[in-house]
Amino acid sequence: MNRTGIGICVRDDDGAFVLAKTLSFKVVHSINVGEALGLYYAFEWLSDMQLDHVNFGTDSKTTHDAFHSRKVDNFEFGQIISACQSLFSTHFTNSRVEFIRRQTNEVAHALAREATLLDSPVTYFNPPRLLTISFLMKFYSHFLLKKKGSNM
Amino acid sequence: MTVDRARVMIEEWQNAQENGRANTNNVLPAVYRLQQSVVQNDSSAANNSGSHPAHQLQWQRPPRGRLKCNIDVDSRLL
Repeated sequence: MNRTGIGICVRDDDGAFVLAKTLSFKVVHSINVGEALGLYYAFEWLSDMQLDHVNFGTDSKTTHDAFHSRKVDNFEFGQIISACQSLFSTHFTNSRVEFIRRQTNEVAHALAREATLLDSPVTYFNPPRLLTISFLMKFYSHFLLKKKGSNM
Repeated sequence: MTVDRARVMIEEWQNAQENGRANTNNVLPAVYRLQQSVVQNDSSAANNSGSHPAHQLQWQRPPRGRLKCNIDVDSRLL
């Protein structure tokens, strides 16, 4: 079945795991609409948890730029961004939305990929196993590349 | 003689239990958001029945400081 998955991962100042969430929809959205929805649900979830002082990171430049823009867009993407702006200004005082490189967003991506396999939203209070596996694979590939480089 | 041996055995058992608890507490900081707490909904009832209070893990808000929230989306087409 076609699904769009959203992965949200919250870490503290030191990069330690705090919370994570996956949710999915039985529909495939365009990338931009999906990213904007991800931002919306992240705002909604963290405001429900009454967390503030958050740096929200998205690897979608379009979503990031639209969020900081004042342009009016009456299409689906623009309407979701407008809802994001409204939710953000209502619930967050000392927070910001920033663009991050895709390489630094691997954990959220692993969660999003997992979300497409799940029917219901899942909140993780401990680092999910898939993150550990993802980290180990990354570490191992980095180690192999380094070893290959030193052999050459 | 038998009483002394029994006393030593009980003391060793209690020490082992305390060490076990200490080790569990040492492990918890790895998942430090989850702290073990004793839930006593009705302490008098627990005392009367002699049952042990229920232990459960509770999530705690992170201490003050900035948080980072990463978001990403993926699609699956079948």
